[in-house]
Amino acid sequence: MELFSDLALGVSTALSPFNLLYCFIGVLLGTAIGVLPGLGPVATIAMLLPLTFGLDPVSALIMLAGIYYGAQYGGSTTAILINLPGESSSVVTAIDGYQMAKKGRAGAALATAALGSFFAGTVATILLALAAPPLAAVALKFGPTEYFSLMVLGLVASVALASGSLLKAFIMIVLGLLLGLVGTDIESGAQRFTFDTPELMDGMNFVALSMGVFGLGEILRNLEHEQTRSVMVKRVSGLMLSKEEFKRIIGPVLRGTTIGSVLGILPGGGAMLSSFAAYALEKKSSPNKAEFGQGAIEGVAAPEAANNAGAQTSFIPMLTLGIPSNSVMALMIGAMIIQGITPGPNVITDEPTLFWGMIVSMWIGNLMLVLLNLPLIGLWVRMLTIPYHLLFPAIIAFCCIGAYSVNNSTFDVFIMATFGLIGYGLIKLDFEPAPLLLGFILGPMLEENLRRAMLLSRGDPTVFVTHPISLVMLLVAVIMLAVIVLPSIRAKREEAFSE
Amino acid sequence: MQDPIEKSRDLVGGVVVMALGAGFLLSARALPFGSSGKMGPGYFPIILSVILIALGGALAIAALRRSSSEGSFGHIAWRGVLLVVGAVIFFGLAMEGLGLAPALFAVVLAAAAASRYARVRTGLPLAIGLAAFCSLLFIKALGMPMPLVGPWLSTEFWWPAASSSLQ
Repeated sequence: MELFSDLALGVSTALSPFNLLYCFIGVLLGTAIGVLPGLGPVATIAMLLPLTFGLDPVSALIMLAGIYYGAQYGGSTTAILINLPGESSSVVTAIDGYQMAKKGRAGAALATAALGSFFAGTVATILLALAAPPLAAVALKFGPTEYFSLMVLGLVASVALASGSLLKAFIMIVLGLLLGLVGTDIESGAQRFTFDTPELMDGMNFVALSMGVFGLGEILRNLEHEQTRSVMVKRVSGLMLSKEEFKRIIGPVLRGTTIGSVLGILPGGGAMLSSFAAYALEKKSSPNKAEFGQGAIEGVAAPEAANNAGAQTSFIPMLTLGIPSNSVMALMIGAMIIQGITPGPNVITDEPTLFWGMIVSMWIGNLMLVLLNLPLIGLWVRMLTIPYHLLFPAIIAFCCIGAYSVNNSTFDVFIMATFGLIGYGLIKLDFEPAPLLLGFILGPMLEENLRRAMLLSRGDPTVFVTHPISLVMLLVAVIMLAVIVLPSIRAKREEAFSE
Repeated sequence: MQDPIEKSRDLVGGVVVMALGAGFLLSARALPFGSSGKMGPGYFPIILSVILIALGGALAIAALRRSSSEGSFGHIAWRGVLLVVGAVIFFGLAMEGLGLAPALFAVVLAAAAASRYARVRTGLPLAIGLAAFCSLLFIKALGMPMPLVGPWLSTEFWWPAASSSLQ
């Protein structure tokens, strides 16, 4: 069995002391930022990227991945204990989790979240190990035509599944694509949008861009309505679930895991959408419907399983196709490129230690999170007493150093400042900035594949519909768009997001 | 359902997007367009710019057609924008001259002042602490090539003649 020898390679990679340490640092940092509202995984990963340049690519990506799924665990802790979701993916957990805590069952809610997440993480990791290699094998047969259509599908799907205005999301994508083209055109050597600035010839620095939009922009938004957090730390006791509670969470955890695994793979999916969908399903189908909103344990189990499963399976398109399904994956692709790895279906065969090491480390990381989180809950809650007015200047300091250190150039610091302003402007104009980053990363790839496809077809655009795989992908994209634009389903979608 | 803020916000948003698209188009106009069989460097950017203008126009028109009163953008954190962005720009201008420790001290102090809970009592120790911590972490421990204290803080930089005449 090839799978076993591959997994053995992964185990030996992930268990090396160095990688274990970075996995640990990653999940620890992830939990910390998951606990802290106002600091998300996107900004954190962007800030830490420059620090990982000196590391081995495997260690670097293991740590960055840990931050993402670690944040899912951390976010639920504060959602349950003080009704303050640290991450957007834990918003629904707060509804019933906090009610459970008020009734003195905080320990049970936390244990449910941890166990559900761990189970979901395990299943999603197995799915990743099983599904990724065959998917990559298919993707290897793709030509530029198929790749172009795949990216179009990815971008359309990420828009379709996101909340908010469709038109605005498309605007963000196109703007991102254009910004991604800044620099020297690889084929002709022509300078595009560089305004004779030598620093822009290699393209706009995506670390500076994402720190500006997601780091500084967020800070400016938070400064608008600053409030002090009063945190009442109560002792958490009774981590054990009763037999009856245990029985009640089995179904929701299984369903949440399934929903999360499916939605995580889809572009635009990932942790947040998964948790909302799982909660909505439980609320409609559970025999304990009446309890929802008043501390139903199902309302904690399902979304927590779903968000962790979604976080894990969103790595599948990133690792097999080289296509990011959300902003965090866009940053991971950027990290790979900086490390000299070409993202795409070749990663599994060319970098087996990276691929299998990451998969095994995700499972180990999940185990660490369960073991870490429950005993350390007091520490995490105490972190919340750090007031925001002491936290955000530190974030700004790290952003400045991070932006500078990518190329040791102050130019990138100015780029970050500019995009901080742009990011805040986008928030004020009600544009969701996440698709911008997807477009930015995909811009050059999209153009390259379009060029090659059209060159091969001698300028005939019908290749995109005469190649069967490409046609199917474009049709799926059209159906997705049609589905959202149709009024009846549109209303349902709004309902799902408003819940 | 009708959000009064939405109308003016989307109108402004649409116009801004159209202006951005026009800017990109203007800048890409000089690039060779090529043909669809052999695309020049201008092909993809020009098409994208046109799409961006069209999408911005659609947003603005949709906003105009909505029948709701004008609204505001809500509160804008001017003090935050000025201090935070100003602090970052200051870091870019002064880090190599002042060195990491003094530049960070100033950045943190300025940024901290953006909060309405800013107090000298908390801001000063925070600035000193972060400047010291980051200098230790990034320069001493991680060995990043940044000056701890830059040339601007030495007398030779300002009076080169004086220091050489002393020798």
